[in-house]
Amino acid sequence: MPLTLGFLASVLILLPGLVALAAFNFRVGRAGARRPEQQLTAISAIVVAVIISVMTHYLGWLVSEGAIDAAVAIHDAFPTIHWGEAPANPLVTVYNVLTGGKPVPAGEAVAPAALLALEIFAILGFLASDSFDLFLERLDWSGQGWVFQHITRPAENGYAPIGHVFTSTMSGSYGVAYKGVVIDTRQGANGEVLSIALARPERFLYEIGHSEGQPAGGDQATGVTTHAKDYVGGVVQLDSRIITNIVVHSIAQSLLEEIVPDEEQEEPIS
Amino acid sequence: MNWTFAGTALVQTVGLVLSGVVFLVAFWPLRGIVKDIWQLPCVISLQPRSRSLAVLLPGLFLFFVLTLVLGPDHFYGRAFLVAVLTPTLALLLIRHLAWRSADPEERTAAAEIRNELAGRLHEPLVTPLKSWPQFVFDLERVRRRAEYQPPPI
Repeated sequence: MPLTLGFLASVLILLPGLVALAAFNFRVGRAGARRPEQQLTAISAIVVAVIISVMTHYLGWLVSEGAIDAAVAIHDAFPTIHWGEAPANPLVTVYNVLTGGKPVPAGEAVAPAALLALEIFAILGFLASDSFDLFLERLDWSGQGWVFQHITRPAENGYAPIGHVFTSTMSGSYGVAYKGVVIDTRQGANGEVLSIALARPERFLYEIGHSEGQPAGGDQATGVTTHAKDYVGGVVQLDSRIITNIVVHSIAQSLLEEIVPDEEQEEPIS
Repeated sequence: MNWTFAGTALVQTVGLVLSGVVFLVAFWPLRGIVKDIWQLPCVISLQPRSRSLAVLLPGLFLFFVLTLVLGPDHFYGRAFLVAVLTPTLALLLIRHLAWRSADPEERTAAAEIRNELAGRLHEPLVTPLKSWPQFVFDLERVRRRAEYQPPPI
């Protein structure tokens, strides 16, 4: 078999596994917290693709065999119409084409193509299903680490992850900080935070130490003072270059809903 | 079989309509083997164990009927027909049982979670007055949410 045809054939055989990987990457990518998707050249990705493909083709073989046997059974019970010869199992046809190297007639090629399409639909349907979602929910599959425990999981379970992001935009001992609900984080290949986005944030100054002549607040012992908050609104996206550190607290969504309407009345949104 | 009329325009048109009807009927087993049968392990594991009877009983009944109709040969073909036709029925039955045994509070909580997800994915919203396809899973989400502990502040 020529090299190019061999490549195409292997892609066709591995297609269910590749589709599963792509669908999984798409699922993970749809969430707010995102890491780079798994590289296809990674050993684990190849192993997963091969295992899923082999299992899918095996199940496909079983299903086709069952369908053919069922058709024969129905025909034997009601032999009024002659249905013609029982077709070969589509996967046997594929195997014969791959090993024999002879082109297959169009009539016989329809069955393997239809089976492959059904296999792919089955995989896509399973990966998009709620049962797979529930199975996956508690596991940190994409290796997000603290982002998974403190942002993704609380957000999925009715909590709002409120992030305080302290930036490195400093003037003297003052720095700018933002406080808001974390809606999106991007992580690099090693899990480091690349950027973080806060929804309807408040901006405030934090101060290391105390200004002279002013009475120290309650934070005197720690030496960090935070000043009055100013409502920014919209979304602020903070790049890792200016983030000094991030503090995340998870507050119950129901609690927030009790507080937020009052705040909205007090603060004029311009 | 007499194929004399097969060439006429009317018969071919009727044949086209018939094949459309057959396709619609075939959608049930197709959905069963492509989608529904792979949900069964998860659904059974979420439910009380006694509810796996909702899968077993229709399956056995179908097997009994098919054996009566098709005869004792071709076990594999009959098993395939059972595997293809049962899951959709079993999922409907389990959903119905779960809906009947759920409290109104649980239904409301499940509907809230479903609407939260549906709003994100632009799917139609549901009401807690009538069950919806993913009800069994949303009930499990309600349970998991109730026992979830956020990281300490």
